[in-house]
Amino acid sequence: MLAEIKGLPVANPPWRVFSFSEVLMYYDGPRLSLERGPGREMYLAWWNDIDDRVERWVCLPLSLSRLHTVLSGQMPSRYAMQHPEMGYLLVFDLDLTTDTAVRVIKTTADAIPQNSLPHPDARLNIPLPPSAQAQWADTVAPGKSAALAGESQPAESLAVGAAGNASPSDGKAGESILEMFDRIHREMPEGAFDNLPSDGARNYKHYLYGWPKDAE
Amino acid sequence: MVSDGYNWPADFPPNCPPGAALPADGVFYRIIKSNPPGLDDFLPLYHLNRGLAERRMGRGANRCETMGLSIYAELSDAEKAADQFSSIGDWIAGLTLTPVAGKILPTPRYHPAAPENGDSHHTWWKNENYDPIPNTTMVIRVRRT
Repeated sequence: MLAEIKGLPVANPPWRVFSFSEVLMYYDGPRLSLERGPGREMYLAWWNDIDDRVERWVCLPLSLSRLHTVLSGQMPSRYAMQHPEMGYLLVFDLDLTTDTAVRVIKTTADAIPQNSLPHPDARLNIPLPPSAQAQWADTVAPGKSAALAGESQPAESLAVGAAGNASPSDGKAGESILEMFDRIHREMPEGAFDNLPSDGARNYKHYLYGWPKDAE
Repeated sequence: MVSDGYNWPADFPPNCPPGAALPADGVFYRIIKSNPPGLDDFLPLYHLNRGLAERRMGRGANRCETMGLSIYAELSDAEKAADQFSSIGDWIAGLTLTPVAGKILPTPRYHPAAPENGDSHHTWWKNENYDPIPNTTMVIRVRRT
């Protein structure tokens, strides 16, 4: 029996509304895949565990730039799970026979049995699939998806640019760079900066690429 | 079902293994759950858990693939997979396969049209009467936290 995951149950499991995109690793079946949410948001999904009733997947919402960082191995997989851009992971328990989600928990990596996560040093080395470029180059980083929160407003209304920033095409003619920064800041989802570390500037290589932190 | 001198399980679909698959030959590595290896470690998904195999068919696998076993030509690729997915198994078995073991096909998941640019993942369709356990030449433990 799989360990219970603490977190916020998602009222309307969205697995059915995920569009399967591409298998990135296969071992006796898909183990790592790209998934697309109802608002075209992107998830990297790791197979996690199984018992005689359900199969568990851990889905990381992420931007195209973070996807590139994780797939290229610049950021270890576990570290990416522990530091999700949007502050959460989704854990799906899928019924083995009906292919339906029996539960979906919005949670963090701390709540998942650590021995079921990728090894701390495990890094992927997978080229960015052309399909990802094609599907997400002009689309959204996952925000507070309405579908995941069981809310009624369209997910697009919460969308930001592909790398968590407004795209260049959103720029306003004639605005100064300060006005541009101000506009981008206003367009960021509420709480987008809540989980940023206080030593992010000093240790940006640690948070971006997993390098050791600078000595205090 | 006898074909090309191989005895394939009766539920293999037509053209399975694919025509491009070749007689097994060489050293390969498979992630397993037990040490010493058990028979379940060499059961393809379709025969181990048909319901799960059916589900995976809708998510990027086909029936013939689920009747094959995943193996790697490079130990390092097997280690990387075991590192990413801890629950697959805690051990890696080295196997010396000969043509009587069945047929294999390079099936890297990315750049499938150019296997040299992908990983060393292969699919092994095991001859029904072949027992891989005596041909397991080594078993190593995967690093765990």
